[in-house]
Amino acid sequence: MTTNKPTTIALLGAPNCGKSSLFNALTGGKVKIANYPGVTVEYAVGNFETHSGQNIRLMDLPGIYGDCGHSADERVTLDAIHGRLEGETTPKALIVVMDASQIRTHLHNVLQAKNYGLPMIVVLNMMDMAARDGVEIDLAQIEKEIGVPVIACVAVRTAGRQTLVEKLNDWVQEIVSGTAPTPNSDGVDLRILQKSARAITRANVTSPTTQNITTRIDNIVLHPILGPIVLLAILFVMFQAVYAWSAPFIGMLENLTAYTGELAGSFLTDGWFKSLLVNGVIDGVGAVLVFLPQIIILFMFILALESSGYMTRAAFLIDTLMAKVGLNGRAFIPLLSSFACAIPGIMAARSIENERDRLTTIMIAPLMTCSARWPVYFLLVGAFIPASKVGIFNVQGLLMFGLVIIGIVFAFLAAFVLKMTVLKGTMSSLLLEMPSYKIPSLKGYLLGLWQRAMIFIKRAGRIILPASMIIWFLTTYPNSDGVIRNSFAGMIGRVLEPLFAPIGFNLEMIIALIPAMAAREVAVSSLEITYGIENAGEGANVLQTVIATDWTMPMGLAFIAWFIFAPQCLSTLAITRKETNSWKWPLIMFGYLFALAYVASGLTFWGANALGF
Amino acid sequence: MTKQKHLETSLFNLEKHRPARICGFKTINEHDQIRLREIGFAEGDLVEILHVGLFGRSPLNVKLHGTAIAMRPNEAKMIDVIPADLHRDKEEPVIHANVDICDVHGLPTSHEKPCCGACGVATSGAARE
Repeated sequence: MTTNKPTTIALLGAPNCGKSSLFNALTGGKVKIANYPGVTVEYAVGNFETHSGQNIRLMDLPGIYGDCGHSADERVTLDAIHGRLEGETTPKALIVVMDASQIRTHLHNVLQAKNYGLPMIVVLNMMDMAARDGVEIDLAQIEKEIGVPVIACVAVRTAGRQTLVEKLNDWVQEIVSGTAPTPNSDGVDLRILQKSARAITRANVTSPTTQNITTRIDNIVLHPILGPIVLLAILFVMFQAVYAWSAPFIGMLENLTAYTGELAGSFLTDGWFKSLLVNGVIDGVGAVLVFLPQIIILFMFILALESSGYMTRAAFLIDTLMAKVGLNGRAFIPLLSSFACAIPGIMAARSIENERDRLTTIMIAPLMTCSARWPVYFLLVGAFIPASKVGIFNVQGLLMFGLVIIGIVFAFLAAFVLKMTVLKGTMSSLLLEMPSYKIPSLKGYLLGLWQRAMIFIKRAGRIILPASMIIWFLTTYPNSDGVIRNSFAGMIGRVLEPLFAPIGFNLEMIIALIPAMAAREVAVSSLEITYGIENAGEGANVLQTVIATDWTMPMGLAFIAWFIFAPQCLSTLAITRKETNSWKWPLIMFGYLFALAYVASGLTFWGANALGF
Repeated sequence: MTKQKHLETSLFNLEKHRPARICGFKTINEHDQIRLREIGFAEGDLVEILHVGLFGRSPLNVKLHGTAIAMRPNEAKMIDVIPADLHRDKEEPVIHANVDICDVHGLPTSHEKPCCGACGVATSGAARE
């Protein structure tokens, strides 16, 4: 029965209403992120089958409150519903998702959705949470009054989805046969819609006036003094954990890389192919994959904070600071995504409706310490900073924390300067709904972790693998005497040497910077290959020993300082070009980051020399 | 009208933990008002300031029914409220169909008399437009 043509249905709802968890639950998380040419659209599409074998193609669109489309991502949602997206099927029906404990605030959005003229059902999600907070809902009566089927649901539990799955079965058949009713419009006047929505909820929803758990937690985490302390403590524990918990796993991966290299080497006779495979591919990719445990631990924290609902509280606490430098409060979420990678961060800036605020956010996003920088930091910090402890704190962890903070401070300074000069503008806004706290479902959590780890691993395959091969080629030819200076890479490096020598970079460092344009972490593979570390026995540890002896402390610190700004990521510049639709902004971005990186490295190098490190 | 001025304040100036009902919007443009309405603010709604930032009451965490919404002072200043303790009718009013309802007190009203007349406070919202 899978051969039948899929019926496209769109999920619609406010941000944080649990749309995506419903989407993941129905489609099993087999997601395809859609990205169509022309408009840079990002939303998920997934397929699933009803009991009777109807194939459904489900679209998970960006969260939206009304039908005005204030920001770019809201317009994507509206375009999708109205069939204005190039190359995308117009949905045949809508599933409007609503957080059951938020009926009072969001019911008018459901009434607005009736105007789209598509068959629709309403899913009241997170019924368990509403029950926890003592909210009572007369479902049958609400269904009667809004004239659209209403289904109670707990998306994250199989039992909680049963009614929905059964209803979908019948409904999809009606949609296919064209008998599914389209709702009657209640008009377009928002004021009137709000009024009728309020009347419906007043009559059919009772919620207690006592403080719920969310408010009680907020009393602590949003406290003007306790709040920031809690936030700093969470971030601090996060950075400590990245070091403390990852060590055994890193050792395992290092042994695995070494073993694979030896195994492959033993089957091959000496020659260029063995050299390419062992020294280029296995060592190059292995040098980056070794950092997977640390990346996963980092994501474990970010994901937990995101899915529990704490992230918006962090946005609330940081907003005071954001306002000071003229940033939009909503910029917090894109900036936080930039800790994984600047690319999703820059795209997430679409949720900011003020164009100047969006541009400012895009421009400073690369200053957030992205996951690609972590391998470089791990390598350099490990090589130059002793793994000692100050009290209970790991010194390396402390320095990493410091590097992240420096990035953030410079981001704020850059935003301030931009807002004072080229992006001068009006008072910006926040207006952010803070969802109720929830304990994320283990399945959804692990799925999210898996998806993110896969992105990192795929990057290793897609970018780092070819990059490693190219570096191998450039460092091995035209001569094979093993002297870097005489290779192609050495020739390129020597051209750039006069520029970088004053800030303390040696030839190997300069060579490492070039392929790092593809991805910052390639700098690690590049050093590994450039130094010709044979059979990376202990992986990064060998490289750490080598650079710790070959470089002076000031050189190492200068290289670390460079990577705080690291202007060379081509993907970031490309996405900036795409999202701003001009060459001006990526050029300004590269220019100011390069200048900052150069000056910072120079100052670090000369400063450290003067202090006699 | 003088009495209304006395009772009415902006959400920004409302004391923490003092519930109030929204009586109108003081937005400079239609766009701002739509944004506030779409996220859920409407006349007659009960709001309460739960938390404020350390400096200059920025940002504010406003409870709107069961939802917490973070906003900045300039947004809170767009929302006019009357503290709920100043209402004669403190209970949630019952709405009857086909009757125009006073936005502040949720009581029946007419076009000749812009407010429900229960307390002598002139209504905002519809009357203001």
